[in-house]
Amino acid sequence: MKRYLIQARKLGVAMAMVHLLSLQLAHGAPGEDTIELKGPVKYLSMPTAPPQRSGSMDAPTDLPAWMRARMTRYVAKAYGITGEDGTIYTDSDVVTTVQTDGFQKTCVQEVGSNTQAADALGTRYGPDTREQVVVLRGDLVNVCR
Amino acid sequence: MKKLAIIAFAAFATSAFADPEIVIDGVSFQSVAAVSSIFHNEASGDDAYAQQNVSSNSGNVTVSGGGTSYQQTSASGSVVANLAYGDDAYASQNVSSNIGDVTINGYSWQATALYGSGVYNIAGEDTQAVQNIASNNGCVACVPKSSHGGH
Repeated sequence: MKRYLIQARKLGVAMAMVHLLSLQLAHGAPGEDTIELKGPVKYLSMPTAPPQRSGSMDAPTDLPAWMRARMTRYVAKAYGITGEDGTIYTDSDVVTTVQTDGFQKTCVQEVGSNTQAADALGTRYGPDTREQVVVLRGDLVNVCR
Repeated sequence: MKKLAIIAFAAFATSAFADPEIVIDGVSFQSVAAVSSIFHNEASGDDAYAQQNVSSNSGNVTVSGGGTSYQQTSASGSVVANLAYGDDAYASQNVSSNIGDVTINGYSWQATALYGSGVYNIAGEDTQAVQNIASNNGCVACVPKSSHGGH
């Protein structure tokens, strides 16, 4: 009986030795580099592209927003039902062709403009001047021949 | 009665010899909007003078100290063309511009916005083609005389 106990003790010692040997650091496979972490992991803050930010709602133009809004309102009114009430002058086409037999011909075409002839009296546009707004629906052609 | 006649004569003489001018001492808003349009100005005859003004002032233009002038032309998909051909032909096309003896003492805003459009200015032999876009042109001789026909 005593002999069986001795053998069991040897077997236990052998198993303990095997267990201790198995606790050694595992060797990596051939071609692999073993990385040992000996401290907390820190990530390097490498320079990266800035995050994409959304742009403005409208693309920048040369006209300020209030001017574009005003023009949009006029255009909408000109093309709307109330566009023919005389407040906004519209024409499908404005074509002027002048042909004379004189020595000199002068053909002047104006849209939303003020023209003062060189030998005419002056004109003053004071605070009561009505706005000159034209929404041209067609072409503007001036031919002097 | 004699005094009235003198005053009347003086007033007439003053106005008759005064320089023609366009004075803006308030708020002047000139705006033209067009879509898929053609702005075509052509002087093709001998000694022909063609002038096309869009949102412009032609003459001796003065924007006084308290005055404000807005001149704007907006067009999309359009063509702005100025052509002069013919002996001594003269074509003047003005867009959002002041032509003549221009004096700006107040505020002047001039803008021409063209989107998907083309601008052409063509002068043939012995011709002149002047095209002003959002400009002030001090050419006094460019102002047509009212005695010429075809206005």
